[in-house]
Amino acid sequence: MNSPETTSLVTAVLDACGRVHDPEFGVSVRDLGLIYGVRVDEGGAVRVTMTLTSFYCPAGEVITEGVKSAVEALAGVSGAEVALVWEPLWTPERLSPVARELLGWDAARGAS
Amino acid sequence: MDTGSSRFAAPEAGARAPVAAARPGGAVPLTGGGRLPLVFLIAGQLAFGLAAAWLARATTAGVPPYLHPEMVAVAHLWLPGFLLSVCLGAGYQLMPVVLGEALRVRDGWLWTHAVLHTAGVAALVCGLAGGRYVFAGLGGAAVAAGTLIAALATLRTFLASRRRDAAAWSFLFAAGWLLATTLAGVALAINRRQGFLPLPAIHLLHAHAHLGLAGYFATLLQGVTFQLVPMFTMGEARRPCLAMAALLATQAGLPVLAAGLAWNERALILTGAGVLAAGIAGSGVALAATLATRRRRRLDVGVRAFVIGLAVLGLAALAGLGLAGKAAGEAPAWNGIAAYGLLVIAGGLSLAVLGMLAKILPFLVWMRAYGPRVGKAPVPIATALASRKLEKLWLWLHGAGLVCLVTGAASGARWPATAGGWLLAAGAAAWLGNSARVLRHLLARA
Repeated sequence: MNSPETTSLVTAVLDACGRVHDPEFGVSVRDLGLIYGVRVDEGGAVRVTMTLTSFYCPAGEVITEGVKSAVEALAGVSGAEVALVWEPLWTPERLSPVARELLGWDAARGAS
Repeated sequence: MDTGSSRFAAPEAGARAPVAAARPGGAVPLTGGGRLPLVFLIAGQLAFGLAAAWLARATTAGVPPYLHPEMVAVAHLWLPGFLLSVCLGAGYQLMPVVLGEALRVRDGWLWTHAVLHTAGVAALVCGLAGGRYVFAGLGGAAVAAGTLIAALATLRTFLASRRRDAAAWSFLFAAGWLLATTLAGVALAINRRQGFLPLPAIHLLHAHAHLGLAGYFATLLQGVTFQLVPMFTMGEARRPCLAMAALLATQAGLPVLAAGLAWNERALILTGAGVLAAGIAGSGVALAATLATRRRRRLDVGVRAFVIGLAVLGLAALAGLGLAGKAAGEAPAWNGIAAYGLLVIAGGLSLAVLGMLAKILPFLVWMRAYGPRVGKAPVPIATALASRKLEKLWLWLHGAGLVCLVTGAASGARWPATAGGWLLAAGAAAWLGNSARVLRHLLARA
């Protein structure tokens, strides 16, 4: 059972991920659908499971370190760990409506 | 289910991770901390500005004959000075990303390459401009020594990598051709004094030029296109077998073409040029399929310039095929050759390389200036470091200048050539202004 504190911390972690942007696309890692899961234990230790849009992403280290820093800066977080996973592979279906709009994807699909 | 993470449950597993799972951290270190690629990129852009200004001055009376010492010097400032410097810098950063392995060479060797290359190009260009061929040969030897370092670094990194597609192979092939080109250049310089090669110098010069143009630049572009375009447009590389076959066609056609040019054998020239053009066309088809998968629908200036450059290269390959159709023994079509050279060098290659640079330079600067601050403080995104207006201005001026220059060279008319030279120089000024704007963000690091 999740405590209200834990639930609000998860929300705060996701908000923090919304402030870390891909440097090329200008879309947050949350809206890109890169965050696969957030686990918070009672002591405030956070584990973020995430992926990248491409295995060959040259900014991968900066992005994962950025997520870790953003989460560690939150009140109530005692420590943060970011686990980078490649299964399942990221697909564009994970883009949020905001990301689709920023990339001009839905407009192009509608026009085609 | 992770605690409190029901809104972000992990998607169902099933899709397989790519072969290159040898790099589970997804982390690729910046080569030389990002400084080394930047040194090559900055040196290359300075050479671009100088070469464009020199070309503008040289074309005030129309396009000079392409074998005029001044034009040969400008061509070497443009090719090894500008285009090669930029490709080396970008390659040293991109190769570890593509191959999924850190460069298998010590940073000290890479810095040695930077010194050999910049000093070598300066000596080469000054020597050619002043008719001091020993000096030019020494400069060329320094450039060749540098390319040996690059070739060995590429080979060792390639062997350590598990990736074996067109993008990966293109680095190895291109490095081999680059080494061959620079060694052939040194041989040409020695031959000028010793005369040990039993072939006309002009034929050898044509072969040398094509080894570099098609062997290094076109080969590299035929591979990295399928890394860069998906990366910057959020798309997927498509038709990988066709891309690989197209790359192999270029590798097969080039030696035949080079031999044909050196011995002035029409059948060999036509065969080699035909196979090479088919290879470039195949890459074009694979690129079109790749572009169709993009999720970022609006192409920014850098990607647009890159794609336009590749299209111009395709056009130039056709023009080259037309020139190759000319019978051996006929008077050379000097105007046509000059127009073809401008189309390849100032057109296709420059647009593609500068388009690539428009993406890579802001990214490298961003990584150094803002990368360590991500998640700790608000930072701009990499694409916001450049000025869209200056980028667009450059592309228009460069495109207009190219059309005028090629028209002037092909027709022998003076005013289009002069206008083209100055338009190109104005475009270079816009480019350098934008580049300075990007680079000043490095000061934000302090």
